[in-house]
Amino acid sequence: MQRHDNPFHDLWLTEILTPEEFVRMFSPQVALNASQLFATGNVVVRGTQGSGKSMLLNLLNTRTRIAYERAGVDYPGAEAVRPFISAGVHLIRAGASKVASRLAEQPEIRRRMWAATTFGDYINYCLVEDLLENLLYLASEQAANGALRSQIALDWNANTQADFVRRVALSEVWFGYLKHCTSVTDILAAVSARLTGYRGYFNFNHELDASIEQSKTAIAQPLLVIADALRSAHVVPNNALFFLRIDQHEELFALEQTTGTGSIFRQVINSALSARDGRVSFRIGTRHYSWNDNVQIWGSGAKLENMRDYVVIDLDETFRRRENARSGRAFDAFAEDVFRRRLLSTDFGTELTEDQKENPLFWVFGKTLTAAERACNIGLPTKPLVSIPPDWDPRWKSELEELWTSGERLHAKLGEVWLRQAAQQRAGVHRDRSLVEGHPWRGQKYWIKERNEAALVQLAGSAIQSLVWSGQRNVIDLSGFNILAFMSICRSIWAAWLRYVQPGDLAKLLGPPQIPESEQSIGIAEASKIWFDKLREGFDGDKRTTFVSALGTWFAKEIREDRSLSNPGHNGFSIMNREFARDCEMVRLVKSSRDQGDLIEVEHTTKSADQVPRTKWYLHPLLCPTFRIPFVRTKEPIYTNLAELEAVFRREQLGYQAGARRKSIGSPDQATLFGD
Amino acid sequence: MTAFSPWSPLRWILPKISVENWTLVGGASFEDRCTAIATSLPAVARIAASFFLRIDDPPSRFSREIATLTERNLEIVKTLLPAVNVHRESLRAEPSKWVPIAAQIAAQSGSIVIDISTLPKRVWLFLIKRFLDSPTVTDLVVCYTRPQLYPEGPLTQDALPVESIPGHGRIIAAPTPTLVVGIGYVAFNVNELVEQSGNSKLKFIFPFPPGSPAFRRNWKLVDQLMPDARIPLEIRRIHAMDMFAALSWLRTVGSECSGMLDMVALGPKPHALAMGLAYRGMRGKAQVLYSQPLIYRPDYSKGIGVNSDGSAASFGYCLRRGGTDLF
Repeated sequence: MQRHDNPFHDLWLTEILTPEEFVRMFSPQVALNASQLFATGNVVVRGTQGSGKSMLLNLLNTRTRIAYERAGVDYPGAEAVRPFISAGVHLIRAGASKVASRLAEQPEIRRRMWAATTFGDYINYCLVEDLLENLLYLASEQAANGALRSQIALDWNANTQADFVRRVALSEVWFGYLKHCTSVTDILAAVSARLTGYRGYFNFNHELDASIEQSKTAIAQPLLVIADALRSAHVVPNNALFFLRIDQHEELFALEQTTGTGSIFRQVINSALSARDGRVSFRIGTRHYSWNDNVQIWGSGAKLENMRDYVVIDLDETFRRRENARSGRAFDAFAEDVFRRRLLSTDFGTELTEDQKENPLFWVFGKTLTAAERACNIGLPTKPLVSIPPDWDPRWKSELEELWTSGERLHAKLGEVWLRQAAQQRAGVHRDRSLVEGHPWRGQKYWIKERNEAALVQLAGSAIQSLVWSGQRNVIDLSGFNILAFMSICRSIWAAWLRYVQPGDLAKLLGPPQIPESEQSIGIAEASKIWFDKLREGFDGDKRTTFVSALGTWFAKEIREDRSLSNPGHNGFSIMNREFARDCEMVRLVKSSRDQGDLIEVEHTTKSADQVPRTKWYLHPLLCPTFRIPFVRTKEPIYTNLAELEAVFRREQLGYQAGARRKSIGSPDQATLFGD
Repeated sequence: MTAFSPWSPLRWILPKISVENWTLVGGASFEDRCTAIATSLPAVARIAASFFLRIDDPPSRFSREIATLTERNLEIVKTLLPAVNVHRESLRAEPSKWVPIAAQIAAQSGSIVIDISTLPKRVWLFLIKRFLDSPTVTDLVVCYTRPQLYPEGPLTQDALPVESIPGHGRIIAAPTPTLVVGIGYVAFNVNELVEQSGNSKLKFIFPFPPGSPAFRRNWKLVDQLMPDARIPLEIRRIHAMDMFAALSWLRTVGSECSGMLDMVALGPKPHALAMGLAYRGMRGKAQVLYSQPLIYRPDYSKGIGVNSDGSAASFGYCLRRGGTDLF
């Protein structure tokens, strides 16, 4: 990579990384917090979009493991594992949603059963195909160069193969489908033919072959047979584990919503997990609300139990967790490591000093300015942005303006805010300077801490300026514990810097740049805009965009118009849990926004007297610069209900519709070149 | 050898195909242009039966207005054509619901004109596949009518995640497919697609010739679609109405990558038709993808485009004549 290239140009495309690139780019920090992944039992990896679920699951891939060994890099979590082999299905790439394409042809009375059995069988064969391919690949690599022999030694000779094939082919689990197979190649060919037959059928190329229709397997059962056969034939060690990955589980949730098939497909997956059969275990990659504890197990009224049937690795929660006071949150180390790896892959990689390697984020972005320092970038020194009504004691006006001109702009603003608060207004302090001595707000550390970001927002609004965002802390905090957001910010900042740096300066640069605050601020504003534009992607895109826009506008208005900053926490909202349990459009929209990472969900310890359990939501921090609201979560959010939330949403929707209409009326009509 | 590309204004090509009785398939839509074929076709061909497909979008704030406009257009169609059969189905209906309708249409005269102008791609691409697969369909002409104009601003909302169009999915795994995106006005997340399918190359079909301000919107889309990953990129300019040129190029691209193609039908409908036809020759290694919007604005398009002689700008593409495929 050249100096003029942006090391963050490629964001988070795990699927197109070669195993070798994966080893270089993967941060073991993710795995450090996910040791259950390599243990026995079922694991559900849960997180918002871009949280790193697929990357974590890909770690189990045989090719990835071999690449680690070849690169001489420690395999993350290796010391915690028993020998294992893994196979996986990516539900989108496997076209799992197509199972529903011919549902309507089935008599209504057997439609649910047909959907469940067909889906289960299709997933089984996808996993069997991948498991056999992994096995053959590993066997060939071990024969050639002993790959992974220290982790899982295969005994893959003619005798073990024959034994394995016999055990598989004779099993009743296939209902005779594999009975003619005499070699692994035969089995693999039959499995592939079945999948091709299914896909051709889902695609309306032909009808489903009767031999397939009559030999549908129960979910997970074929995998158990394969695992047993591999152990019994001594191909793998007796204590070997089989990890079966099912990624993009949320695809099933979307499928159920679009086809109106209830929760059949997720029920089938639950059925696989419910067996709690130690012979194989599942690794499910999903989003928060797609994994619903209320979804039953197919064929049973029961539900899965967390900690009993599966354990959860919640990536969002994991990264939010504070490790210790010195190292900060787990996400800090993860982001730093990802950043370091990107720098090492550039021309700068060879020039990094030990200090730069140790603290690359600090080196490139520097220290985040304090609120007082940021305030000094707002407005002009000679034009105080404090608003003192004429009926207040004029001494306050001159004193606060003097604070402003002397460089204490934040305190000038906070002084105004303090005077506007109810206690001071009741006591008449604003009308009589002599009632208090000095600047009482200065001693109220937490009062200031809770309000300085909102005060900055108001100041920037008065100056018709954008807030300055820069420095390591801002970059990490604006990422909202999401590595995709972090990479997006880094990319935009780097791009802004590349636009301004002179070619000569770039060539002379030794080591990575120290990017000026101005370019960082521009980059962050651009990243925020990109993040907002990205909302349209994915499920409910426009609806979520309108919703987020409604929330952002609502919060901005609340903060801007709260002149006394009595509610500096009104950049989020809180709803009672019992109300949120309802099944209605607004709840679905909030859940969808949370799953897509537009909203951050936090349990709310309510301050209200009723003590009714609540949950609160905030916009993803990276959206906050676009709406010019603080991202810090301080004090109490807006206590609201679904009716008010819906009213806020509908208002924005009507505005959007009216805006679109106005635009179409006001603009010259589009001369057409073609139709869509 | 010069390839035979039987396409032209509809009123020119249709009389050249010696068919006595045509079966017409059209869209009963809120767009004005759905009436164009009912206006122009009877003058150049005999319509023995006509089927108008009314596709209902999910309920939205536009539903009432769209229903009113659709009723109005349908009334116009009914006054122009004898015995109009109307089939009503929801936009998200499972494709299997279209199977009996396709069979019913194919069982008529065996000579079909299908107007794709206002039908959703997931419906007309599927129907055309069924017609081409049917031995009873001996003649097939696809018609496309340009609107007078498209308004500025967002025309659709709430697009579903990208997925293959019914009947146009991948059968055989393709580890590193080439991604071909037809450029139109509406974007979607190509990065996600690159990520999901591990595409190794990216190619855009850019409608040509450009005309202001359409080209501005096309280039804006290109800008939005530029992927985050560095993968080889090619932009190919092809006339927006020249379905056969697009098909020829897609076949060339397909042969270069052994048929491992992901084709995203965002652009002009004739280009989407080319993708559907190219798919047929890729032996299951390709797929045609689309991000289906759920909400359309009632003024999605306005009026009916006209040629320089004042006739409706309807184009005809003959795909099959006398039982022989011409593509």
